[in-house]
Amino acid sequence: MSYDDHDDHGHHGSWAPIIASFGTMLFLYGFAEGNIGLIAIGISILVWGLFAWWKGDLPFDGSEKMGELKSFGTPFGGINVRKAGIWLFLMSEVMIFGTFFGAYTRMRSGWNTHWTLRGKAEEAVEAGAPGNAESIYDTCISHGHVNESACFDATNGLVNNSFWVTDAGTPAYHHVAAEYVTADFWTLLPGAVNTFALILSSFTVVLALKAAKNIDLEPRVRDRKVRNYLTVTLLLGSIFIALKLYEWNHLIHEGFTISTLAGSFFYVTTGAHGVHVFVGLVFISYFIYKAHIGGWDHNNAQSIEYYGLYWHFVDLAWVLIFPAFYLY
Amino acid sequence: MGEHHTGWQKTLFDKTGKDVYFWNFMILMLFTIVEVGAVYMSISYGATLFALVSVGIVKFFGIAAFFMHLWDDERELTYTFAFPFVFVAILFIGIAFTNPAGVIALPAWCSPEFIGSYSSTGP
Repeated sequence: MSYDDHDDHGHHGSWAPIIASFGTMLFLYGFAEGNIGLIAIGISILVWGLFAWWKGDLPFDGSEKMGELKSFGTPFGGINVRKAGIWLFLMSEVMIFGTFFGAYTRMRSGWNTHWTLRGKAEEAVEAGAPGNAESIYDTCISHGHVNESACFDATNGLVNNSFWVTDAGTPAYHHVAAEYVTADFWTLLPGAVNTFALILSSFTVVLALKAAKNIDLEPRVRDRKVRNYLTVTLLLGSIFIALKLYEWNHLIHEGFTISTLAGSFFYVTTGAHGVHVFVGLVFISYFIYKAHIGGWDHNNAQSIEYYGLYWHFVDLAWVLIFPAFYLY
Repeated sequence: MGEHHTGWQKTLFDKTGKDVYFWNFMILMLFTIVEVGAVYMSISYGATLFALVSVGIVKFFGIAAFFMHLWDDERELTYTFAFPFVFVAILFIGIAFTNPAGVIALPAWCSPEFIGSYSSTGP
């Protein structure tokens, strides 16, 4: 490894991330086992690791401005090590969300209303229902939305209430969130606002990075700009979380719960994305504090860039989740 | 970074006074409006799906290429980001788009324990 702004300071690699990772491991293991004690210990170690990590960053005595480590091996030769590391991390994130999308696509293409109803429509035609299977299918799903009563009539009762709801009254597994969301614009509105909020927050992170790297700005002006842009990002992310919880509350009250197959895909995927947003908000809170005390300049602004890569990926995931889970 | 303003990005900045990040942001917002509007227009199911997929691709490119700087950065980083999509594509082709009977037709050693609980014809 080499340095781009080498000085006499040796590089002080931090042990804090491995501690935070260990705490995360204990927390998740405790969560899976339902062990409250282990959850508490894991969270405590995680928080300790994060505080130690940030405390090590705070002195601003110049040691943190020694420059970025650069790798020299294939394939990342000449690239900042931390930058390559973030991209490697994002590779794993792609796989995580890829599995969510794969499972969701499996459900939508295979077991969900469209294929199932095509089969039901054919059965209805064979049983004497008027029209052909395609027209019955179009009646059941008008503009992509389920029309239960029309479907009941068109299939001579073959697709009856038990197909749509369980005995307990909750929707059967093949209802998807989009049926509840796009049916009413005011239900779709939180999701649309969230999309705008995340895209805008990605832009404000870019603006914060530009301000931090701008050597022509007065230090106080630079600090204020970076702090303000990051604060707007934090606010927009908080709006996202708040609207997400509002949406979930609304959908659950409508009967679209995690106990259904489609619901489990929806809530796990959007929940995982929400956790990623929340983690991003935790980190940006520290960045805002650091900007407030004048900790950023062009020498160490790369940290904002690397955070930005994570935040833009979160935005990217939402750009794909929103049309797939809310609009389609 | 955009403030270097080279090539077409410099031309864009010189002509409009705004850098590529600003225009990328505006395009993303515009396409989001198109995307939301598409589901409320009286167009066919296929046209809606085409609109959603197309807009998704455009927005994906905009965020990855410009906000995440892949357009200007080393190609190795683009390859790094693209690499897992190969496995995601295999996941989609091999699992997501197969016949629903694919689950119950799996060999015994590959069958999940809930086999037989779901069928392609609904509950």
